[in-house]
Amino acid sequence: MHIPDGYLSPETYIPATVGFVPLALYAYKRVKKTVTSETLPFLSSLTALSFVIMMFNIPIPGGTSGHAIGAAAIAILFGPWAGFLSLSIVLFIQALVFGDGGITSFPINAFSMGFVASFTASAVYSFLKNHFKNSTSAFWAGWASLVMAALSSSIFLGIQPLIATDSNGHPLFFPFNLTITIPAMVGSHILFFGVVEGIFTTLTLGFVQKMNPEFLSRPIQTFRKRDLAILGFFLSALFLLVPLGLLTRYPAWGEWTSDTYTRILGFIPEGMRKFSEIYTAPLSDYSLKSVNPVSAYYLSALIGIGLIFFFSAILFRQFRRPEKSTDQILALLYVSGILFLTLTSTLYIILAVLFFLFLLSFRQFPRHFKRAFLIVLFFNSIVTVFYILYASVQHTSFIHFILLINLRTFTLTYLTLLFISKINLFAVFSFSSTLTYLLTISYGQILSFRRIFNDFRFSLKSRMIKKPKRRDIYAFISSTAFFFMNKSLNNSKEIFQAMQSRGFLND
Amino acid sequence: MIKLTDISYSYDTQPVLKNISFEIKEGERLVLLGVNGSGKSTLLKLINGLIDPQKGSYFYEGNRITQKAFKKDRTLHRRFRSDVVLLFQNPDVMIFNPTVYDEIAFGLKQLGKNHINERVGYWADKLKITPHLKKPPFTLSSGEKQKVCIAALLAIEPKVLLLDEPTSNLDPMTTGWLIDFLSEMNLTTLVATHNLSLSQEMGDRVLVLGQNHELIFDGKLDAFLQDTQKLMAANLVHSHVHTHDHLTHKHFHLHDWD
Repeated sequence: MHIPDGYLSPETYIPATVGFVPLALYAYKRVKKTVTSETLPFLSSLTALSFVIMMFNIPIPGGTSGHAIGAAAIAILFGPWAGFLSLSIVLFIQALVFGDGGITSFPINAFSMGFVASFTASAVYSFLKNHFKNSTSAFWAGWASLVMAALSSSIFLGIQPLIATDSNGHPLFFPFNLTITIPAMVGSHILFFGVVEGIFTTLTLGFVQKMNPEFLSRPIQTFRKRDLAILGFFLSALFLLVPLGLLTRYPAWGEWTSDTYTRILGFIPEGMRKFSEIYTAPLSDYSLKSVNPVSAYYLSALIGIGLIFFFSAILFRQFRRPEKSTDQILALLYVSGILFLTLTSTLYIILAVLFFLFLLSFRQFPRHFKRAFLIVLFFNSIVTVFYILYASVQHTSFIHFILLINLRTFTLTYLTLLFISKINLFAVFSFSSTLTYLLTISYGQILSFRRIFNDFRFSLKSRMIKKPKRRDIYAFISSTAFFFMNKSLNNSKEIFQAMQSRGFLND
Repeated sequence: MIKLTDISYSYDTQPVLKNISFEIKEGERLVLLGVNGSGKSTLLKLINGLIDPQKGSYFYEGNRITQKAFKKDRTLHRRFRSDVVLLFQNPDVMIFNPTVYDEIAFGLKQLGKNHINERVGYWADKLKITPHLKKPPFTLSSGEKQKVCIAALLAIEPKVLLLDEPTSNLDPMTTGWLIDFLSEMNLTTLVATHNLSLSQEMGDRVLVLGQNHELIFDGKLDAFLQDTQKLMAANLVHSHVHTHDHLTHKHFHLHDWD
């Protein structure tokens, strides 16, 4: 169901992207209202679980495979908007880092597997729970969510031949129409993967109910630490089983290699050929060159879980401090931007990003431009000159590479300057209070030490007429060093006492 | 409310406090006088329960306060921390949060108070630091830092306020404002200072630490100011040569240099 790049026409994914942004922002706003700081770790864990469960590829008869997505459990426990948001995070990381699902098709994937699945699940569950047992309702909610997601996906794929064809009447993008996609995808999800999702949802809800019986009747409330520990255990147990997902080498329906397409159709659709290479993920298909597939799969799962906790820590944790949300969102965008810029090698995309940044900086454009230019000037000119020399000896073309590297460094620098000018860096780390205190205290101390050090220097200068002798300088250095050591010792004791005094209970 | 009996404290071999005993009743406004190094800061830290006396005992509302007692009785610790607060002499050591907002909210969160947003807004408004709420506190001037620290302490709504040289970083105008502000608060306060004229503004009872680290006076401020012997023993007055009309002479002064 992860639609790759090149399968969807721009006529599909551009409007989808435009629509996705406000939808995600609205979801964010909604989730922020309902989710408290106590339930957030739980939501992040479920999000990570969703990532892991998607790695369990299950082969079915007929040469294809599929997987559950875990949206239903989140939607039932935390509401459909939370499900949508969590799945969007998971899919974004999968697309960006693992090449599972395309960058351009990300909004469509998020819509199908996030939005459609979550809303179906919570609607079905709330309808059924009054008539059936919790576990029955959970099973059918999970089943229905995946079936509807598959339906949505198959519709988006199936309309591609109607939207874009070349002059010969060959489809430019995904070649099969609705009469093929709907039965092929929806059928397999009704019979197999929907059942898996249903079982997964039932298990998760049963597990939650056992741990915290009130949670289901009165959702979104405090979770105990012990429960989280159990969930962590569950997650790690599942994590150990991850290589089972490698049992199948069958791809999911439609997600074939170009050879398969040539065999089936006799040709590769033009747009697919052109756009499928638009972006190459660093850990494409959860594998690494020269690493055995099982280790690579483990590594991928580990990286994925780590990234999800990082992202959700930033996104979710700051709900309890609404006034800082902008800082952390900006930091998140910045990190994604850096990742994206270093990974992409398409000139036009970098240009577009740069232009967008220019627009964003608005009035500060000349200042940032000048600074970024001066910063990269030295490094870039050296690299450029040497590369030109190298290329002229080797008789290779260099224009593209030179443009790319210069543009990329400039854009990265510009992005960094813009980022620093917009935010309070210390607030970004507020998801970890220890880290924040550490950073703030050190920075504050450094500032005050610098002030004192300058005073020391001035006091020396004010008492000296001639150039100081070497012995004086040594004496000065040793006395200042002693002072600072003493001062930092004393200060750290005082700071700790001040923290204690203000209720830092250390427990 | 606060009771110290026969307390001694020393750093290594150097005594800082010797046999100190006194009591503070609720609502009293005290001044702790003493020259530099007479042990004022140590005494305040002791009353704030940050260090334990090596001899003697300290009671707060009938509970003996030690680090051990805090470890044993978490509710006592929590209650004590929200009742008794200390403003450190150097506001820099009290600052460790990324924004002024967090700085004020820190104690509230640690002590599990509710309505954090409202409280922070109220106290920021009261101390006129609302425009700085989103800034990192260590970029502020020292007077503003002091205000942030005071807001952070008052937001906890304590019963006892301990202040260690609260005006040493402030200009005369802000000092005046702070004195008025604190007297409006109607808290039990104990202000450590070596500034005699300030002590007249900040309290009615005075505790004086002599250079020998003992409590040499406990009583009304006026009585202390009359007692030249004690004033000299505490080194709180100075003598300097000056001119009255045509007569040049030298005598003791109560006024401060600044």
